[in-house]
Amino acid sequence: MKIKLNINGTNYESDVEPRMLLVDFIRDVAGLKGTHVGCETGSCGSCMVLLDGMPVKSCLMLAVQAEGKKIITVEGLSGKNGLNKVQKALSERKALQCGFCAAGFSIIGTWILDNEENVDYQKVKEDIAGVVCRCSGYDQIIKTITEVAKNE
Amino acid sequence: MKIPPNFKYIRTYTLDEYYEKANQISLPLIISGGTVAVLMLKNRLIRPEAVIDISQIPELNIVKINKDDVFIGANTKLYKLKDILPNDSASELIVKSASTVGDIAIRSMGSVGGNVCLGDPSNDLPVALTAIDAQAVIGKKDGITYLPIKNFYIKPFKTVLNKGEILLGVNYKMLNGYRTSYKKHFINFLDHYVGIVAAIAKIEENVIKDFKMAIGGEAVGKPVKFDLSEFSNVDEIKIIKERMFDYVNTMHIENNRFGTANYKKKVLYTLISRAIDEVLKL
Amino acid sequence: MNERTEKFFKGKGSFVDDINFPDMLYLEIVRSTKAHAKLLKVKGGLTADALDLTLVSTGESYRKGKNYEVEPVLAKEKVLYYGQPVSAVYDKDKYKAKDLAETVEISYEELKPILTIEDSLSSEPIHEGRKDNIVSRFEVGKKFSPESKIKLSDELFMERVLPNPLETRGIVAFYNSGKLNVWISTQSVYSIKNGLSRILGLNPADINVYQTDTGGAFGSKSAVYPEYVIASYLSIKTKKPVKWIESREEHISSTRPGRGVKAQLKIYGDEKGKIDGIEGKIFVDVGAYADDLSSTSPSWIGYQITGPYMIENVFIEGYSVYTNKAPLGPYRGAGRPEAAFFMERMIDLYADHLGLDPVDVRLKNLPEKEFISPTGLKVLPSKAFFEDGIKKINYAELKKKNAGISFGILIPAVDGGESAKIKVENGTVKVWLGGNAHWQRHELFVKRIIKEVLGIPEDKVVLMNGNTSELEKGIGTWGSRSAITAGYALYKAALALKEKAEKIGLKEPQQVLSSELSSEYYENMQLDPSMISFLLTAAVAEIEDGIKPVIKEIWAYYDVGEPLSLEAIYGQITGGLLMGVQEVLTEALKYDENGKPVPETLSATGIAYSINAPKYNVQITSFGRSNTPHGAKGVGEAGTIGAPPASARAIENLIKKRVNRLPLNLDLLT
Repeated sequence: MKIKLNINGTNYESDVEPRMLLVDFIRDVAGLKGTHVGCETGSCGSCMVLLDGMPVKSCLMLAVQAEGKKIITVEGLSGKNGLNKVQKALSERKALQCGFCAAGFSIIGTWILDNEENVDYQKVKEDIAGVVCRCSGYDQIIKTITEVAKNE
Repeated sequence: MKIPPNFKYIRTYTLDEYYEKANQISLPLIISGGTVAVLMLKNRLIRPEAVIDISQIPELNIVKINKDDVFIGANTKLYKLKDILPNDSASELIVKSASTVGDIAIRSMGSVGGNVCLGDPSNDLPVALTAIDAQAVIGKKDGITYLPIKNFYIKPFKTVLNKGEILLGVNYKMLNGYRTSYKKHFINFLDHYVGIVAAIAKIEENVIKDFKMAIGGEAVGKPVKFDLSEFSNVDEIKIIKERMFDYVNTMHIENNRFGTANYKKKVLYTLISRAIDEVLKL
Repeated sequence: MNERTEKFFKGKGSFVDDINFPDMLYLEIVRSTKAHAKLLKVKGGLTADALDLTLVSTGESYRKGKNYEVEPVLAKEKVLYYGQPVSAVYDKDKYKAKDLAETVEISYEELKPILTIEDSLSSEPIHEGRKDNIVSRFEVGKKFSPESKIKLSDELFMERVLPNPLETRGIVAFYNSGKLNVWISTQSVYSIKNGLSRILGLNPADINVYQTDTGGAFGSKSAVYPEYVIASYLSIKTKKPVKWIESREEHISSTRPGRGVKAQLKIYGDEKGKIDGIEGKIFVDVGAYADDLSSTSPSWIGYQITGPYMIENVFIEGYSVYTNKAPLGPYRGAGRPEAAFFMERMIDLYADHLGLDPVDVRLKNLPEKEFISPTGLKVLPSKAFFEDGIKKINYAELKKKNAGISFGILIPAVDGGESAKIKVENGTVKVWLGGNAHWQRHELFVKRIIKEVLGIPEDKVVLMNGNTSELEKGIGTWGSRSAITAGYALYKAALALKEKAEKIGLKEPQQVLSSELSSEYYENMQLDPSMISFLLTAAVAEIEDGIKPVIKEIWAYYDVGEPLSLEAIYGQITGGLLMGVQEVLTEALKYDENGKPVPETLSATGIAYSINAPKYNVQITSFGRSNTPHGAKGVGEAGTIGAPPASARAIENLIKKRVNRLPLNLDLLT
């Protein structure tokens, strides 16, 4: 079936099987490789994107379900001036190690920045709970996002 | 890779369209938010002839706040409930329950209908809705029926919904001046919940006027409801707790990968005790 | 600005699933759904009939020395674990490949699966032609007849744990113009190259292995696995690029987990807290097939059982045994956490028996001068380190919170040394290391060493992914070895480059930077006690509501030698600590009575989420430099060694019941 998805402001039109997962559309049709597949069951957040401003796990959605919605991937977070604040801080402070979870923490971190009030360490710790990092023990990630949010 | 089997995809825009398609297709799978339905497809646990997307049906997308009661359309996202529902105590319990589902992403994808209809004992809303005597609003071609949520489940993963029927949403009476408590216990985050307890109570001038509680979770199976009328000497919290513990002791709880029966019983005692303390402590 | 991290935020990383070629084929593996069965029929796909190989070639070395059973690439006649590859299918569409996998017909005659160490020892051999299920036996230390007043015994167990890197395993193999090119997510391009060359009988010169960005490994990406051989074979056959990406489900059933160890130990001592000896048996459940690492695991654990202590009498019998479970591999720490857990738990048992403070007993048993254990382990005196640490973490306060404590050592796997290459090109210094980084922060020490030796600013230095065509020889990244070994090799390579530059009159860093010089260095190394670091860990637990054990605080006072980058080390330590904590609480790979893995999802394997993280108190210190020019010690596995015994003890202090099995048996709370 023909579907048209709006990803990072660009329309991608393709003839796909109804069973195609959103994450596969993003990676294989739109060619945006920053969104990753880590667990396939919604347990890790590596495939997280924003759908109409809300974080979703793109491995648990069919591509066709996202028709008519605005999708933002990790690539779409950075603008003309490069990385956004959260990404820049995570990158500069080397909060991540292997980098596979960069999309997940960028998306959830940006969402926290844009949506949460009275952000503190504990709140960030709870908000990022659906994104897995196996390398770092989370501390530097939580500290970094908290700090960026507090400086908003 | 986990990849769904092939299926036809049908997006329905009206209830009539839904009834027509759902009756035509031998094995339909209804999808609103995705999450669990997509996971079941990816695990190839079901091989539907067609996936029927109900997310565009207007009747399922509304939340109606009347004078005494509230209707939550099945497509309502769990994450949205905290912004939409009124301030009464019954709504408060639902919001408490919904805000513990998965993580933010799962809550922003998952719908009320999905959480209610799967029948997974680990799901949150069924327990909260049972506690407040909510009703399932079931649509079918020839009309609408209302069924108490506690009668909606036959056993884990099995509801009374028949082919061609649809959960339009849930309906409940607003309750004011109640205290609420929602407790649950998991071992692994984003995995199964061992026990879930939802409680709501009204106390006036140091007298317990009303008390409702539901327990659920993997140890319990389908949600079980308790009411004030079942307890005598209601001034004594201790007695309510004891009766609840007695009930837990009569339950058949299995030793399985989620824990031993002993451990699960202890979990239930603890959650019940904590919830009762929160809503009934004078 | 750091391009290497920045690219991940721009979606410009190239993990293995990001590598694509036109005309690529997607490989799907059809796996056994029985843990132990005869294969009656396998119809469809590529089977052992066409591809009849084993992982390590069954050549002379196998027959002569290594008497263990090696995994076949595809199961033949029998399957010995759930998830074992039986057949392989492919298609140019990955969705269709998955559908195709379902068309393969397999029928089984089920046999009783052997799933525990106990059953393994008392059951008929799972491998025909063997007399029992014992893979290997070891004796380490020396038999002794103790006359100690105190004699205490216990059985300890650590369940299997999955490495679970966030990026699963994967490979793209492309046979082109007579060469096999392999892009792979790995800890060592060299073990992949050597393995594929030996298994497929290819000339090593005809294989190039390129490391893709690697999304974590924790031991799971060091070995050659059946899927890599199948993908390579199919590419050679079809002349097309072949991609295989592991699903999480496959990771759970078929990637090599770690741990799975039981110990029956006796500790001997006097009434004042002086330990006379440690004795007992260690059993390692290696699963259905073995390799060098798993078959020797019990002796490696036994070798370091005494940790930092001076214990004059040690005798350990070690056994590796077969079971109908996936073959065992290394998991972060690989033997070190096992030894530490066993010893530390026995010391607590002893201290409790005497009613002494566990810290006092530990301090009392540290050597005054260099000590050589009966197993051959050489450790330097560490009393000053631990005494200092006890003050620095404020043990007196922690004790009031019922903290558990552990002393430990980290023996880096330096043997074999490592290689490094430096190439100056277009004003940039490119560096390749034999150990292939996946951002455990190797880049930070690389930049530092280059700056120190060559004076070249850090922003001109780039650490490249592993590549056998750039740097031909190397070992790999594991066993907390890279800072020491690769760091050393790089240091030497940098000195060599400096010398070359000076010879042709290039003295200023800027001059070197505009040259086209290169140098390569391979440094063989051997373990020296100065490289062993000391670890002091403390944990504070809480049993929430009496039903949920959590670790609230974790304290680490760790010796890292000359720290190459504090920032880098901090994340390594906290990461290891959380893994160690979670191994005590929930993280485990259990199997049901049919031998099927119990967890079906990543979350069900019990891994740590952010909400599980304790409050960290990490103090990085140097208790002397290692005997290398740059003075580094290892750090990568420190937390996984220190956290489990400290956390187990902290919980034990609260529930007043002995914790000797991991993960914690929740029934202890009832």
